[in-house]
Amino acid sequence: MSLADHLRYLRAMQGGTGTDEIAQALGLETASPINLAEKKYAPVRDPELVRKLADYYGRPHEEFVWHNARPRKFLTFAAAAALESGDPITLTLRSGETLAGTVEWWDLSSIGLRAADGRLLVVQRHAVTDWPNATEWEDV
Amino acid sequence: MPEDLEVLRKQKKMKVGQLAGKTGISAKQLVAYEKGEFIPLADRQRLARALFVDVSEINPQSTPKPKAAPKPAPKQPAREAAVPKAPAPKAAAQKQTPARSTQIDHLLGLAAALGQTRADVETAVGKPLADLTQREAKEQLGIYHRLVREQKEQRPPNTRRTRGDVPESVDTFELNYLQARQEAGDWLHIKLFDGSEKSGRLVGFSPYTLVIAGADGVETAVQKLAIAYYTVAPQEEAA
Repeated sequence: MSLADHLRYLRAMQGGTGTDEIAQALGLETASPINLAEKKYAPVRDPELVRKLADYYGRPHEEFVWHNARPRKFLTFAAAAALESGDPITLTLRSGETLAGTVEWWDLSSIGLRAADGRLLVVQRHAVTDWPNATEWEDV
Repeated sequence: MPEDLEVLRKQKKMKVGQLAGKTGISAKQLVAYEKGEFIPLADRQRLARALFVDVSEINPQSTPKPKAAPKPAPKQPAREAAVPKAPAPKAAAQKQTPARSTQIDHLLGLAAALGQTRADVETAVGKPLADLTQREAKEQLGIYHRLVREQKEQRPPNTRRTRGDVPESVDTFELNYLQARQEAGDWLHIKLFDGSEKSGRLVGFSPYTLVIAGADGVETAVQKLAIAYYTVAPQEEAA
C-alpha cells in the first residue's frame, strides 16, 4: 500500500481531520504538501515530511518508510507486467488476506483478478498493502 | 477531423508539464510536436490516452505557427538608455520569494533518480533547501534535469526500467464491469476493509460508491474506500 493510501486511511480512521488542521499541527504554512502526499502516485521525496506525518499519527517511522517504498505507480507496473506475461500474482490486503490469480485488467482504482476457481475478484487498489517484488521498480 | 496537439491540450486545460508527466514524453519533445514535428504513432497513442481522445483525433503533424514579426526596438532617449534598468517586478519577486514546496519536491525527485539524498543536494547547492529562492530552485531544477537526462543517455540499452506505457488515467474497466453487472441484475458479494461482508443486487454505482439492494429491497450505499474487493455472488447466495 502506498503512503498516499495509508495517509488517507489513517486520516479517515481519525475521523476525517482536515489537512489544514494537520498542516497547522505540523507547523507547515499550507496543507499543500499533505494534500500532495495523499494524491501522489510516486513516493514522497521529502523524508522530513514523512517523519513529521508518522509522528503526527503516532506511528513508527519505519512503517511510513515501508509504505513509501510501495507507491501506487509500482502496483500499476506490477499489474501491467502480470497482465502482459499472464503469470499469476499474489496480492496481500490490509486485513492480511491474500488473493492470488491472473490479472485480467487494471485501472485507476481496481485490479480485475481471475482466481483459480474462475471468479473474477475486483480488488480495490487502496486495499492492497503488498505484492511480490513490490519495491524492485524504479520510476525514471 | 484531427486537431493539432496544442489545441487538444488547451481544450483539456493541461499545461505542457502536466501532459509530459502523464505521458512520459519530455516537455521539450511535446513543444517540438506542437511546433510541427511529426508525432510517431507510439507517442500519439500515449497522448490520446492522457487526453482522453481517440488517436485519430490527434493531427500527426501540427500546423506550424507563423513566426511573429520581430518587434521594432523601442526608441529610447540616449540618456535614459545609459541608466541601469531596475529588474522587472516579477523577476525581482522571484529572486526573493522562497522556493515553492513543489519545486523542492521536484528537485528531490530528480536527485533521487541520481541516487542523491537531500543532504547531497544541500551540499551541492551550498545551503539548506528551505533557504532556496524560487529563482535558485528554478536554476537547480534546470541543472538536475540535465544531469538526469545525461544519466539516462549514458545507460546501455536494455539495462534500465522505463516508465510503463500505462498512464494513470484509465478509469474504464471497473465502470464497464459494474455497468454489465447492473444490467444483468447480478448480486455482488462485497468484502469490506474490516473483514465484514455484504451482499445484494447491484442497483447503482458511481466512481466512489456502490448501491446494493438486499433481499428485502432495502438499499445500502457502500463507499468504495471501505471495500477491499468484491465479486459476483454465487447463485445460492443470490437466491
